[in-house]
Amino acid sequence: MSFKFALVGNPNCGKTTMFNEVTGSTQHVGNWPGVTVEKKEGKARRFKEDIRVIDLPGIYSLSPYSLEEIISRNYILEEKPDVVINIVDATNIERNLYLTTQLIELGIPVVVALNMMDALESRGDQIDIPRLEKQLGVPVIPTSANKAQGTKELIEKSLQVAQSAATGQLGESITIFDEQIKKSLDELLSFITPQCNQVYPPRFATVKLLEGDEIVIAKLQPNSAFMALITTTRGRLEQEYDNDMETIVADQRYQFISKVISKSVKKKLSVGGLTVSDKIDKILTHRILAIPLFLLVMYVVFTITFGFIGTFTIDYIDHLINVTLADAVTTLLHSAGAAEWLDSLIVGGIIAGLGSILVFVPQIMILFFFLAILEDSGYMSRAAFMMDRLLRKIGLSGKSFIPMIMGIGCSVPAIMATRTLENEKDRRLTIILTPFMSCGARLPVYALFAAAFFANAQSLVIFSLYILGMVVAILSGILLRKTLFKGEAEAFVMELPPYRIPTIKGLMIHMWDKGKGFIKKAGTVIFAASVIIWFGQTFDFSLHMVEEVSDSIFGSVGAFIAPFFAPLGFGDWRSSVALLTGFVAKEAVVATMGILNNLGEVGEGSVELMASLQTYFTPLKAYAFMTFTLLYMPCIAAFAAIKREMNSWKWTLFTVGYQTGTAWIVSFIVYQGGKLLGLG
Amino acid sequence: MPLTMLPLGKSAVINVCRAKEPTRKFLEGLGMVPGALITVISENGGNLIVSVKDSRLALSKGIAQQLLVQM
Ligand SMILES: Nc1nc2c(ncn2[C@@H]2O[C@H](COP(=O)(O)OP(=O)(O)O)[C@@H](O)[C@H]2O)c(=O)[nH]1
Repeated sequence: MSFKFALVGNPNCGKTTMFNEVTGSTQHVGNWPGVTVEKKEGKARRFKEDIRVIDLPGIYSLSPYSLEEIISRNYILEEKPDVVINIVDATNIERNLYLTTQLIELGIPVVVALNMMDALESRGDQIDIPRLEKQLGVPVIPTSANKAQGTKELIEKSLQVAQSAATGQLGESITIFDEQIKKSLDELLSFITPQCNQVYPPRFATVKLLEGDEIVIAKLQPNSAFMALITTTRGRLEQEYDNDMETIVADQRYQFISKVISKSVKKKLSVGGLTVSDKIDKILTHRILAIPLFLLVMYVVFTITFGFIGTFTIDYIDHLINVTLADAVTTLLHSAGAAEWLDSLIVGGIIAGLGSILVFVPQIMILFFFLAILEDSGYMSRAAFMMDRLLRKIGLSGKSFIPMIMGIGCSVPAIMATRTLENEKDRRLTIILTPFMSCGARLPVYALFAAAFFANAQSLVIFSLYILGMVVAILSGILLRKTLFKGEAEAFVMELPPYRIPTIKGLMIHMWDKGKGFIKKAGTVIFAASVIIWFGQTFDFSLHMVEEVSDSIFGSVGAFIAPFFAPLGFGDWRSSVALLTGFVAKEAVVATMGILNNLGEVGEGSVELMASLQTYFTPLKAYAFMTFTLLYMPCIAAFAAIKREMNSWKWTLFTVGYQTGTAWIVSFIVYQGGKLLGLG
Repeated sequence: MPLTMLPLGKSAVINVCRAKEPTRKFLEGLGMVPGALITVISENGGNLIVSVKDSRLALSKGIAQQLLVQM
C-alpha cells in the first residue's frame, strides 16, 4: 500500500523541522515566516509502508488571496492526500487553530500534530489532549519536532487514519458556526448540485460561496436562482451581524476556537503578560537603542567574517592547497614519471584554479553561519521590522531587508529569499536590486586589485565597494519606484517568531544548505570554465596552437569587445575576456587574468600577477574595473535564479540589462571623473 | 481610536479594520479580528510590535492607522 500525507501549518510552527525529522532529508530550517514556499516531498523513513510526505507552504488560512494559500488549497482538494497532517504550534494555539477549522471542512482526514510541546511545558501551560480531540473531532498527537518526540506516533496515527479512511471525515460532525449561520449554510447546502462533490466538498463549497470566494464561484458556476439566493442570504446576515460576511465567518471561527481552548488549555501566565521574548524585544527594538544595537551586531558579524578569522582561514586553506597538496602531488607525479605537461595541467592548472575558489569557501560558510544564527534566533525578522522605515524611503519594505543582507553572502539564495514578499512589484524590485549587494564571489577580484594597486588601503578600498553597491541599490530603488514600479511598497505585516536559542544541528543544516552551492560551483562550473579558458587562450579560430595569447580565440574576441570598455579605462583585451568569463562565475575573473597574463592559474595572492597587472592598469583603472565587476550582470547561477523567480524572460533580460548598463555608467563616472580630478 | 494612539504596554480591543481586502484577510488569518485583544509591546518610529492571541506581529504605521481599537 502506498500513502500520501500532506504537511500543513502556519509559518514557524516547526513544519520544516518535522518534515526533516520524518523524511530524514536535510532542508532549510529557519525562523523567517514562509520559508517553505516550494513544494517539498520525501518518504517517511523507518516505516515499511510506502509513505510519501508532501510539505505544503506555510500559511495562516485557506483564503484565496495569496499564492501559497491557493497552492495548498488546490493541492489538498485536487490531489486528495490520504491524510492532512496539520502542524499546530501549541504555544500559539489560538491563532494556529484558525487554519485547522478550515482544514477540517475540506473533506480529507486531518490529524493534528500539536508541536512545540516542550516549549509549552517549560512555560508551565497545560493542554488536555483527549478533550481537545473531542472538541475538534480529529486525532491530536503531541510532538516536539526538534527533539524527535512524538513523530513516530504521529505517522502511526496518520497511517491508522489513512487505512480506515472509509470512516470518512471525523471533523464533519463538528459545528463551528452559530445556529443562525448554520441554518443558512444548511439551506444553501440543499442547493449544491451533486456534481459539486467531484470538485469541492459540499460543506466547504457552501461556506466559500457565502463568503463570495471568486475561485469557487467561477468553478461551480451556480445558476442565477442559486446565485440570487446566495446574495440575499449574505445581505441578510451582513445586516444582522452588522459586518461583512468574511469578517463574520472569521469571527465565528475564532469564537469557536475560544470555546475550545477555554476548556482544554490551562495557561500559567495571564493573557497580555510579558514573555521573555517580549522583554528582549523591549530592548532590541527599543526606539533609541534598536539601531545602535543592530549596527553593533552587523559590525561583529562582518569583522569576524572578513577580519581576522576569515583572513586566517583563507591563508590556512591557501597554504594547504597551494603548498602542502601541490607539493605532495608534484612528488607523486615525479616518482610516477609523469610528463611535464601533465604535471603543469594538474598542479599549475587544476589545483591552483580550484584553490583560488576554495580558499573562499570557509569565509562564505562563516558568513552563512552568522546569517543562520540571525535567522534561527528570530533576530532577522526584527531587523526587517526596524529597517522597514528606512527601506520605505527608497520604495522597498522591511521584507526586502533579508534578501538584501543575504546578497552579501551569495545572490542565489538571496534572490530565492524574495519569495517572502507577497507583492509582485516589491518582489521584482528587490530581485533587481539584490545583486548590487556585493556577493562573496566578487571578493577575490577586489582582493587581487586592492593588493596590487592600493597596498596601503586594501580594506578601505574593499569596504568602499560594498558601500558603493548599497548606494547604487538605494539610488536604483528610488529611480525605479518613480518610473517602472510606481506606487508604494506594500504595508508591512509580519509575524515575529519568539526568540529562540538556535540548535547547532539547525545552524549546520541551514549553513550547509546555503553554502553548498559554492563548493559545487568550484567543482563543476569553475572547473569547466578553466578548461574553456585554457582552450580559448591556447588555440586560434582555426584550432592551431598559438604562440602569443593575443592571437588566440580569446585574444580576438577580447580585442573585438574591448572598445566597449575603453571609455571605462580598461579597454585591453585581457580585461574584456576576464569580464566575459566572470559571467560564468565572478571568481573566474581572477583565474582568467592569471591565465591571460601567461601565468597559469594563480590565486588572487599571486605576486607575479600583480606585477603583470601593474604594467597596464593604474589605480584609477583598477578601481573602475572593480566597480564594473561589482555592478555588472550577475553570474550564470544568479541569472538562472532571477529567471526562475521573475518567471518572465522580459523581466530577466531587463534586470541583466539594467545591471550591466548601470555598471557601465557608474564605471564611466568613476574613470572619467577620476581623470578630471587628475587621479588618472 | 487608531491603534497608533494606544500607549506602549496598554491593551485594547480591535473594533474595525479599515485595511483593503487582501491585507484585511491576511490580518484575520493572523488573529486580528474585531473583538480580539491587542497589546502594544514595542514602538519604533511609528511601526509597532503588537501581541495578539499569543503571537507577536510587526505592523507598519500605515496598517496601525487603519486598525481602530477601543480601550
Ligand atoms: N522548542 C521547540 N522548537 C521547535 C520545535 N519544532 C521546531 N522548532 C524550532 O522552531 C523554529 C521554526 O521551525 P521551522 O521548522 O523552520 O518552522 P516552519 O517555518 O514551520 O518550517 C526552528 O528554530 C526550530 O528549531 C519544537 O517542537 N519545540
